[in-house]
Amino acid sequence: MANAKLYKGSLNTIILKLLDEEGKMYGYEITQKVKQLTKGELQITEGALYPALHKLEAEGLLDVEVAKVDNRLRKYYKLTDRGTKETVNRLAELEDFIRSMQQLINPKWSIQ
Amino acid sequence: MKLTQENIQQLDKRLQVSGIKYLDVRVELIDHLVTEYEAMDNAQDWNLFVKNRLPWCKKVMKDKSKTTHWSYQRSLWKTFFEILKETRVLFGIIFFIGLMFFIRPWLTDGQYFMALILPMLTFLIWQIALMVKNGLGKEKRNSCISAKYLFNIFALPNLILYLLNLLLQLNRDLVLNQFFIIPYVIFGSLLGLAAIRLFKKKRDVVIAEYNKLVQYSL
Repeated sequence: MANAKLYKGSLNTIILKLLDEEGKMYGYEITQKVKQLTKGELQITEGALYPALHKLEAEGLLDVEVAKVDNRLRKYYKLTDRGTKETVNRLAELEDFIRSMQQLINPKWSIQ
Repeated sequence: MKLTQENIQQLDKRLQVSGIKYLDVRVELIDHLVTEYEAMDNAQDWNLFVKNRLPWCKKVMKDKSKTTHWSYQRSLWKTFFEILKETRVLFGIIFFIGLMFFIRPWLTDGQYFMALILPMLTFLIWQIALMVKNGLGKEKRNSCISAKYLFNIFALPNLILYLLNLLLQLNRDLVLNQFFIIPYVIFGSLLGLAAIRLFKKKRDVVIAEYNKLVQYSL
């Protein structure tokens, strides 16, 4: 598994991006999706996921939908209108950051 | 391994006994633990699994409590600055300042002080009325973290009023100085108004969330 500290600052953006693509997701599903997309390289721990989800919800970027699944209740998270706009901004910021890092690490190679 | 309804009910009770009393948190934790356990290839003993995950469950609740509390405080300041941008509020402030300077010569110190803190007291009474008749009974407050911390919105405006009383005892001259007391009262009153507006707005969201949880859990 890659250095988790490198991903920490991008966790919120990763969550927002996933929800933007998938529509609505529940906590466990997010952890598994990230694991699957990164082929196990990145594993979001529940210890980091739920505080991030709750913070994004408190900021008004996520909305919660409750549904009965099997024999229990499930909380689905989805983007609010503000969340959708914020996702675009945060992804642009992340891309800028990656570009800057790329230039610092390997000035001859660029993703542009 | 598929868990039964009985397993889930036992887990719910275990979470409650461990101090996780809020329904909104329990719903999420139960779903996560059950989904994780059912997805395991070599599932360990269910009771042992739950026992090992209890510290994490408590941490989720603690973190959510903090997040909810501070998000309310941030929203309070946001509402305060939004109020400041309203034209009618700006006119109200100008009128209040003018009135306070105008009536000063005709009033004693005590009467003047009472006239000054009247707006703050009005908002305090309004807050108390909202706290009494709020639609958020004990049951709702104990079921949702968002409901539990909703009343904390009023803490800061009330602290401003309390500090004024303290200042009056420590430095009477400062409190009766118009250039200090008028901005202080305006600040305290607008913060009180912001708290009332925010409480009303959040209360509807909290009640809707509670009703949804109760409706589905029946």
